[in-house]
Amino acid sequence: MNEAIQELLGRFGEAVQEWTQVTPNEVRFTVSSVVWREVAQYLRDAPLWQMDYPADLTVWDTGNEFWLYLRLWSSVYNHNVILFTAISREEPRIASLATLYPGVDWHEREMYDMYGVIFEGHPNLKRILLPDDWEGFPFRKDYVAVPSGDPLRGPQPVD
Amino acid sequence: MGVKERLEKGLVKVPGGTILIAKMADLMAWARKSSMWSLTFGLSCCAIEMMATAASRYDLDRFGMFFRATPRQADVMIVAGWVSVKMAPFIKRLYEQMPEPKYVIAMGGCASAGGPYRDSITIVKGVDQFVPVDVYVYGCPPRPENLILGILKLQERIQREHEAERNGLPKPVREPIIITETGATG
Amino acid sequence: MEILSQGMVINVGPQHPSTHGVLRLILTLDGEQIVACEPVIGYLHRGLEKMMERRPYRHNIPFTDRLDYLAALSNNLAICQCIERLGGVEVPERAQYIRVLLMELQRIASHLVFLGTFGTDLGATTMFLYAFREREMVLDLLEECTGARLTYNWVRVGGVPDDLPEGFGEKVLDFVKVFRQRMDEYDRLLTRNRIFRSRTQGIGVLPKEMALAYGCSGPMARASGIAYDIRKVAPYEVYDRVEFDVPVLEDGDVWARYLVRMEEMRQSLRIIEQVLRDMPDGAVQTKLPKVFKPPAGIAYSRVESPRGELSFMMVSDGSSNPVRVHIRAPSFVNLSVLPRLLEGAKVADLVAILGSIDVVLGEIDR
Repeated sequence: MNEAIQELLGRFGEAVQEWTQVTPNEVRFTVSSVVWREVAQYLRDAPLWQMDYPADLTVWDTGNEFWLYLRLWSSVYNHNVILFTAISREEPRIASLATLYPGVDWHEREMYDMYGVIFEGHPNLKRILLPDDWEGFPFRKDYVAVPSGDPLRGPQPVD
Repeated sequence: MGVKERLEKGLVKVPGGTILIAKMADLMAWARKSSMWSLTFGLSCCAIEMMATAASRYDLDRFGMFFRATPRQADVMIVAGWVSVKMAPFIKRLYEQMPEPKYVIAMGGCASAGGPYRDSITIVKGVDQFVPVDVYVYGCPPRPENLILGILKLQERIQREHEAERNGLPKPVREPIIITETGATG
Repeated sequence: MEILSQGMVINVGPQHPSTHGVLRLILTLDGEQIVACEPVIGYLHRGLEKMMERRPYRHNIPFTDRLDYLAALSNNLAICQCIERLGGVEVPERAQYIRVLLMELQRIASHLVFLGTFGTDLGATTMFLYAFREREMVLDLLEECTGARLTYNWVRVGGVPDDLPEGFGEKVLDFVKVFRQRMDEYDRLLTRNRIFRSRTQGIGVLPKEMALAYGCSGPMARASGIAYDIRKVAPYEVYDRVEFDVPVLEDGDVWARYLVRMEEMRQSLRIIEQVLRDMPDGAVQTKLPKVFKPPAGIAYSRVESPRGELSFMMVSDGSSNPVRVHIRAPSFVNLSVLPRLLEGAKVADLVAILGSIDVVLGEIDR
């Protein structure tokens, strides 16, 4: 694991803003959003990593910015990697990983649905859980909605 | 006592044979209440308890009830589970597709009043917001015994409606029947 | 001369006898073959993750019952493990044994529902009645211990709320003995049934690379040759102290998934016997302060629910409510591979393939 970490740090240098080794087989990296897709591709293809299983991808809102969380597992080495990155709330865009890991396809759609994050290069970025005509992104911290009065229509966002 | 007077009291058995005479309305009432076919409308957790009620131990078939997938052949719709805004138009359309006479049982806290999802923005607070409900069976999920009690109470209501119709009385007001978690009936 | 034809679009659901919940499939057909399939989900979406942000950590445990409602205890365990990792809470040993016992009973109950509904989908309705008869026995045991039949809410942060009732161990062992015989009955009914085999063998094959790339877990992955069982790969509670095998098959078809789940039930019986034999005495819950504020940080937990890898991720900022709760539901990820599985399949096999994925819409939609 140590060798693999050193190789990654050597490859990406400054783009890796922070990293911690939480347990002997779990390491967490915070990377800059510019290299998000590159790092994910490297982790999948590099012989020392071989992270072939995308476990989870999600977004959370700290109020100042959106943070992304990607958890990967390797079926070859049984080690875990968590990648974090931050993107701006006003222009939430980041590269899509759906063509690298098909398993994050629906996760990215859900994050678009709930937070409005645009995943560039996603084959089918449209709402998945909420009705197609829903306005607004409910999981954002500043989402406010009032009941619409019609039981067949949900609450409508207040601008 | 003539046949007509005896018919007012119920069935008339012709002596010596295997022939019974009954009023059409009585037969219809008996058939309707003893053979309620329900629409398979399990949405979530309550659906599992509904399946368990229909399965081996709490057999629903002995009450004449089994599940039909198409609303055209169903008498009663058991809404089991929470109703979301995305699903609500489908429920309304399915209810409209059921032929009269039709009844609705709201099973569980979610279908009755929204359940624990009071601050969810996508959940409709009760299916009675857009379809008329006859029986509310509370619980999260309600025990199979409570669901069966709700069905029996509905059968009693069907019987009473037909008796009123037969005697020329006005139809009784369709007030909702409420079965609470402890089995008490409101 | 070329014959122009359009694919026929068929809508399956959301109300349909065999969509295992409120799932809508928009199929494009070319005669009998499925050309494309688009699953539409979200009919049960409640926004639970957002609701959990408004409540203190431990108030969210009852919501998790309603996620994967066929295996409610696994969800309870997953959220409690996540909170325990955030807050650094230790769980006493007896509580860990009790948790494992309840998880394995829950696994049997959940796989029995799979058996029943899968049999019904293929037309073998008798299986439904048999499976639910056994399931009632498991539910009786769980009801005696936890008080509820479906939404147990019987795992707390730091252990379990209360000890097992008197004589529980003997009742469980009686059930184990009866259930082993009943499993042989299921084998006679389904596993050796020629019609069942011809409807499930070679259908809906999921190759190993596709299963890995899509993140499939649980019996779906193990039937495709991936030896991924979190109880072995990253053991939690006392799974590293009990002996059991994990069935892994290579074919990846519907038949393999059925066999994996049948074998898992037998292995669960083995685990239950060992747990009852080895359970130590002691406390069953670590007491927490009334106001529980874990330190700021991010933690995740993963458990092997009957459907696959169930993982909770929580972000804490030091206050009494979480900043974010994310639920990685196994059915959500397993369902995303359905369009690929259905490419080129016949319409008549749709129900068998969908049934073999064993989805629960409650956890897909959250």
